[in-house]
Amino acid sequence: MSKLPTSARFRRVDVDEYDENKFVDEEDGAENQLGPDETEVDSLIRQGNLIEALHVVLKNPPINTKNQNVKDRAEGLVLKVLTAFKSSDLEKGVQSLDRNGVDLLMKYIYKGFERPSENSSAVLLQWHEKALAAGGVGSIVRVLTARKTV
Amino acid sequence: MSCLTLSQTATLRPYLNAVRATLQAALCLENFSSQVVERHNKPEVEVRSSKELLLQPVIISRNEKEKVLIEGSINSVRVSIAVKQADEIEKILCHKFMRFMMMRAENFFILRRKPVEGYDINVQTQTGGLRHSLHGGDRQRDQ
Repeated sequence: MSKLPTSARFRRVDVDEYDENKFVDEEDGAENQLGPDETEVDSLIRQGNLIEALHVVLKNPPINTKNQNVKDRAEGLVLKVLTAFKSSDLEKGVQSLDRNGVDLLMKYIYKGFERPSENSSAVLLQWHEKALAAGGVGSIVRVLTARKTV
Repeated sequence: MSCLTLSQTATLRPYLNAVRATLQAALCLENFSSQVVERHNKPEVEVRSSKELLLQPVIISRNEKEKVLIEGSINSVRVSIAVKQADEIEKILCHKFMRFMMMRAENFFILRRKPVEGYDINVQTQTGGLRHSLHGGDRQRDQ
C-alpha cells in the first residue's frame, strides 16, 4: 500500500482532551495555607485549654495546597488535640464548633482513619459519634462530596 | 476465636455505627447512564471514567487490621471490608470462606468476584439492585 501524501497525525490526537464539557477540577492556587500553628496548639494543650486548642487547630486548614507535608503535619496536630481530650469533654468540644467546624472535624476524622495507629481509631470513633450527633448525616455527605480534602 | 480485651469490645459498637452512618450517606444513588457509551448503564465506581461522578473514598478503621473502605459514585457504591485475621489459621479460613462466596458472586448479586487490593471482600451495588432490595421490588427490568 502506498504512503498517503497527507499526514496521519490527526489520528493520534486525543479528542477527549478538547471536549468543552470535560470536567476540570478548579485549581485554587496554594494561597499560603500553612495549616494550623504548631507552637500555639502545643502551648494550649499544655495549659489544658483543650477547647481553644481545638478551635486553633481547625483554623487555616490546608485544603488548597498540594504540599503533602503540610497536610500531614496538620493531620498530626489535629490528632494530637483530639487524643488529648478526656472522654467526658468530647461533647462540649463538639458543641463549641459551628457548622463549618463540625464539617472540618469530620474531614479530619476520616483522614485520621486512613492511618490507624496504637489507639487513634478508638479515639476517632468516639469523636465520630459525637460529631455525627452534632452534624448529622449531612456532615458525612459533605465529606464525601468535597472536591478538595484536608 | 481469640479472646477480646475490654477495649476491643468497646470499639465494636462505635465502629459499626460509624460504618452504618457513612453507608447511609454514601447510598444516595440515582440512575445514571454512561456518558461515554450511549445506551449503556455502567457502575461508575468500577469504570471510573469521569472524575466528576466519583465521591471521595473514605476509610473507617477499628484498628490497624480491621477497616472498611467505602467508595461512592453517582450510581454505585463499593464497600471493601478487611476482616480481622489474628493468626495463620484465621487467615486461611478467611481466605477460603471469602473465595467460596466470591466464586458464587452471581447468585449473591451484590458481591464482587475479586476483592480490592488490601481487603478481603467487596460488596458492590448499583441503583437498580437497591430498588429491588429496599423497596420490595420494582418489576421493571432496569439496570
